[in-house]
Amino acid sequence: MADFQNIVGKALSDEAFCKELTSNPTKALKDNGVTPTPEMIDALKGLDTKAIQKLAQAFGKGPAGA
Amino acid sequence: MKTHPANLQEETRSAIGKLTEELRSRSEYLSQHLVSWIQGLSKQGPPEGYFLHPHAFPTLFFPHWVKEGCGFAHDGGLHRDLTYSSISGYYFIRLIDDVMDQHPERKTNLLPLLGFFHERFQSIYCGYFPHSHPFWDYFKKQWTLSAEASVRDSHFRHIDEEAFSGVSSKKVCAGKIPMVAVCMRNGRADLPPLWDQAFDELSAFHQFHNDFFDFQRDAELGIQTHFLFHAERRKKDGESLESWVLREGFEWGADAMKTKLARLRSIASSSQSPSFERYLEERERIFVRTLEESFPGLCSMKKLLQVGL
Repeated sequence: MADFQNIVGKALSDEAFCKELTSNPTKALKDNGVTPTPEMIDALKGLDTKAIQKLAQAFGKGPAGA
Repeated sequence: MKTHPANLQEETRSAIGKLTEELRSRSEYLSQHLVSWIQGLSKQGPPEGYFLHPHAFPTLFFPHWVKEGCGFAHDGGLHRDLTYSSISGYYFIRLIDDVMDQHPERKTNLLPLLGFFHERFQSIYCGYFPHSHPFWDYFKKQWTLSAEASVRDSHFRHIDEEAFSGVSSKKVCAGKIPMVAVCMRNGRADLPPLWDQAFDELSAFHQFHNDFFDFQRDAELGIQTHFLFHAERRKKDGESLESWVLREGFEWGADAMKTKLARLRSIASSSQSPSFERYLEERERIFVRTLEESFPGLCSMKKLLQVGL
């Protein structure tokens, strides 16, 4: 299950992947070597992508300041 | 909300203009490179915005806060000069740091400008303190400590709590030089301990804040930080850095910053500087807002991590 958890983590750093994971979870999981389970698909379909993007935005954007 | 002291925006704009004009009077060619680099640092905004940004380390603010906290009379000429000197010193350090960090936007070909920046940084003080003045002992000490912290930091393989508080957060300690200059110009023999501590605590908060929010960039560039050191120790077998952040790293980092901010608030409450207190309130407000905006996404991701466990 560690692979699935790491894929979840990848959604934090890769906006395009995050969108793909929520819009087409079956394909995104298979493309990353994870066999989707109904539980995974249900969980991913119910994900609040806007909230995740907000979280991702907090990271990786170094302030334009000294 | 603006958190910078009155006049500082104009002082900063004027200092950057003076610096580029000074170089232009010596070399039009070099000044073009300098202007281009300065503009790149501030992205789309005005050059002074880089130093006054809410997330910027408030190097230029501290001399004003010390003046206010110690009850010194305002000396506009001195503060303009200190701003000019500190910006030159900052550019000196920025050029070096970017090269040491292998930053993608590093400007190795501008390193020959270091001499210009250092001369501009130091020469201002020659007009205020004779060669034999104790100020120069402080100047040499802090400048050397800052260099030592940067070199030590670059050699660390593991930045534990002790290394972070003792070294990594001390890289900017040369910023105390203009603070002690304000004190000595006003008859004090040293920098009051409260302000020494305020600077150290704020630089530690600032460094940790950067390490936390830039963890992905640091990991990609192979930069060692205290946050990444902690992550390596705490990650489970096979767990990615991002998964650890979602599982516990976010909360650990947020709690550490809250603790540092609480210490800073305590110091500020005794500082007699309302400007310093307002700055911290605003810094904390922005920090808390970021946490609140991140929280729903964090909860969603944490639930997802539970799937199949």
